[in-house]
Amino acid sequence: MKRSAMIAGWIVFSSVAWAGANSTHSLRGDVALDAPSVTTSPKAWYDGEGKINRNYAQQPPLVPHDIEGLTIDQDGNACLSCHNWNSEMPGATRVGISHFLNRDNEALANISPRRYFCTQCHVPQKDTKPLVTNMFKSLAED
Amino acid sequence: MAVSRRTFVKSSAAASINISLPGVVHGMDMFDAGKNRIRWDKAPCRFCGVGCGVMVGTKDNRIVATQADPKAEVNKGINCIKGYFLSKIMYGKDRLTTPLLRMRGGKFHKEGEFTPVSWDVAFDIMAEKWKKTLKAKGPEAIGMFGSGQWTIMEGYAASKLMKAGFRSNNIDPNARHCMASAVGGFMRTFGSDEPMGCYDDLEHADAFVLWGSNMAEMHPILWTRITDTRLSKPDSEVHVLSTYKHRCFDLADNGMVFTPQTDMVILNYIANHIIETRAYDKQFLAKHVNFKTTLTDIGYGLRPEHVLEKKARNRGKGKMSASSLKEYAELVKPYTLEYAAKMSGVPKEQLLRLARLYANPEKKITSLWTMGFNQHTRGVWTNSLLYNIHLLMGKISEPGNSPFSLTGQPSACGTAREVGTFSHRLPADLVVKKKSHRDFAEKTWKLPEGTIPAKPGYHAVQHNRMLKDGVINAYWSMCNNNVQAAANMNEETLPGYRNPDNFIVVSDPYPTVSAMAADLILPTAMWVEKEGAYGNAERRTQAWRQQVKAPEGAKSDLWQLMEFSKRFKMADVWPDDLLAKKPEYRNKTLYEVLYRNGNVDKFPARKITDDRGNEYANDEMDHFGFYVQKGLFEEYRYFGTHGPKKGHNLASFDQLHQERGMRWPVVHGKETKWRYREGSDPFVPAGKELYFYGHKDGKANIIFAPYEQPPEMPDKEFDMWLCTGRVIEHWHSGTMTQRVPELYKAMPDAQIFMHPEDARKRGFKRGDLAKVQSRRGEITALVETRGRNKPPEGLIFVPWFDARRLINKVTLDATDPLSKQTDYKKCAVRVVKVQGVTA
Repeated sequence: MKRSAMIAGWIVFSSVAWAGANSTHSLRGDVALDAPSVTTSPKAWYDGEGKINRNYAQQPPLVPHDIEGLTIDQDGNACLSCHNWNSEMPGATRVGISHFLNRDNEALANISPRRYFCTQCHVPQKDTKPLVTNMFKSLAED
Repeated sequence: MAVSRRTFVKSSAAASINISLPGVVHGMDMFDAGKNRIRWDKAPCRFCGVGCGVMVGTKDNRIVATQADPKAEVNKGINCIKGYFLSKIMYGKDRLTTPLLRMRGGKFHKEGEFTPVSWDVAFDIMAEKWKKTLKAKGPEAIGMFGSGQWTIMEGYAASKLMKAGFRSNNIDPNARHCMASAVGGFMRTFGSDEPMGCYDDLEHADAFVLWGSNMAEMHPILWTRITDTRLSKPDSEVHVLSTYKHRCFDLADNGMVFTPQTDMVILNYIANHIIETRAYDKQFLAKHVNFKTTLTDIGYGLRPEHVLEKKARNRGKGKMSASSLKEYAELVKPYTLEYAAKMSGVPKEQLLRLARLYANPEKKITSLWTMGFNQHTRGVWTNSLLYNIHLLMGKISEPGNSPFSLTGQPSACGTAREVGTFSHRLPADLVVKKKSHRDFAEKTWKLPEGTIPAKPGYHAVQHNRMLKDGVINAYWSMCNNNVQAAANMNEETLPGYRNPDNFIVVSDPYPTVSAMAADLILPTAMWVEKEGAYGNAERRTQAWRQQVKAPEGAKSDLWQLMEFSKRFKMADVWPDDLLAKKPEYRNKTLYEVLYRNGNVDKFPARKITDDRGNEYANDEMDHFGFYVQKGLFEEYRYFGTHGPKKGHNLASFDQLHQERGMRWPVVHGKETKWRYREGSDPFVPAGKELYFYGHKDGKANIIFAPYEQPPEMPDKEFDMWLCTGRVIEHWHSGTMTQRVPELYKAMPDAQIFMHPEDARKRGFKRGDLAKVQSRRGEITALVETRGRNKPPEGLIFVPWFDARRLINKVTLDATDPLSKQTDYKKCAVRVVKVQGVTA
């Protein structure tokens, strides 16, 4: 919340900055609408240690690792093997207490079934730059 | 959560990700009242039709946080990943803050460069083009494309401006692409639009059946409610039908992948099963149902000169004839288990399990569908085929028994459907072609008889065709991105926008693909930069206050519509014979006649405060000098409380600001959970128990329709099906979500989801660039064989959010001929290697 928590820096990237009228571009950049698709290439998942900063306390944490091959279905939830409240996996963020409440706000012994599919709120990140700079200011930057 | 472990920063990672390090928290700073205080206020989410409640955290005129509203009944404290990042959607660096006009040599030029101009200059040139067009060709040569993301008040103001002001019914919303078939199904089966059930059904049902809906990604919070029920209620079950495997299959007890279009066969098979096993509810049918058949061979909504349209015997016709249970039984008889399995490719035992579920009177079933049914060249028929099954069993309008049409957009129901911004509709289920409906609208609006034209205007797909053909010449598109969204972009969309005879205006917060195709771009305020209301899929109307100011220069759609109306004298837009009926209007402006009519300007400007003493801005109120949103809403509400179609009563404006939304009909301040059911719906006559009052005799229709082929199917040359759609991380064309770094990085590129065997046969590895080609166009994208969507062999799925690869260059602009809604789920393509390296 303080500057000291921001050592790694809030590095803002500029990609498609709209500076003036003659450079008005859509997300296609300067590629015309009737031109072929903008080229792209496969991107790796960000897959490192450490957590990805939250913008505000109420934001669900992003997943700082690759989750390909991990499944969540009727038979099981691979995420919980590291992230359940009683997991001993060092460094793995534990599910918050909010995840033990049902719709009526009653506490349950285990994860609420409404929170079962983790990827509805928690997503991993590709190791790439933002497409457009976002000027949102986190209170953590104050 | 404590951060208490070794943390280090990988050099490559530091470039793009913020890594948190443990820091020292200074208590006094942390709890400093001024610093720590965030003003929280409710608003509905900006994205899908679920209509989740969010709490918006504001500090110093900026959104600093958003969280799920624990008090909102829809979502009770959970949002999906998009909802959690609402806080960032307004802060993309490329927000538009000045009108931009294509200019060359100091004046407008169709091929000029976008140049900043003032709002005055922007409206001057717009008004000039509108007046010139009206004079030369009349009101049918102007058009407006609107949105299921407009606020209710914006949609209402726009509809009034077009239908009553300019006297053109050429206004249609992007909801035509999303909900028109659902509307058609409701009107034909029940005579009244929108679901009888509500989200409470998700806790009451024993079984859920998904027909063409990937709720896990597209209605995530309703999916959390289904997951909750499925995992905590013994013997509950989930059946999922789709043309490819998606995330909903992870919860499915019976997951079925069927050949495109054969959902119609499966639905008729289930009806046949119910009849042959005599499982149907005889009493229910006698009391509540009429049987009908519909004309067949109705074409595919293509241009009239298309060979398929010339061949169709009953092109575009929806006429129904009276039928009987006996005749219906004969008609569904050919739809045997064997036939259904053969046509659909779904194993017999799975189909039988599904049919037995519907036929079991003990099981409460909620069926859910979205674009799989609606974006379907037989979408209206298919919606009704599903109602047929529920009606045969009497499983309807009670907790848990619910055929539930899910909505795509946040206010497709509230704005597009209820306000009636479609080219054929008026508020509260009224239609332009009925004289009594027009009369009521004209009287309410204090306009002379004959103001509203009786002929429905051009629908969405027709807009693009008419722009291309030069029939519509002045066109305004608001709150959507139809150049990216409409099918067959190369042949039918771009030519119209760039037709030198046309002047195209696009209002948007950001430079979208549509904006780039326009002649004039108007910078627009968004979401909580204005006061508004949305209506979600369960008939819930939700209002919000303005939370922050829009960037200097950006104006709300409402401001734009009303301000533009000041540019017209009545004599510019109405003929003499109409003016003669209201001579006192002759020297007034459109603005005065439409918005200073004693209704809209009835509520004086006042301070907006909440019960905690916080003050809120209302920029439209400041500008126009009266409470614009309240006046518009209350005038609109009169259609529901006093109009010819009963059961459309909305809660009052003031009540909506107090509540977490209210489900209509709202009578005496009380909402309705289950329509048509005595005890729940106040419009059911006493003793009737169940009464489908949308029809005069109180009965719903079971409408037989046969399986008919789609217009384009894979062949030798184009050997695969293409299905398009969305992903959880992005909303529609990605205008907002692609500008949120976290959402962009979670899903940066639209990929070609493909079966590994199909990739292997064509020489592709996962991650290779490939071309998707159809008869109409092509895109280049990365091949994904192990992603969240797992198509069967012969089908690919490509999402449409990515402006950099516009999949709608490939799709076909065939529509349901009744609803005029495009089928984005089926056309024929091939996937080929990219020659050379360039994409």
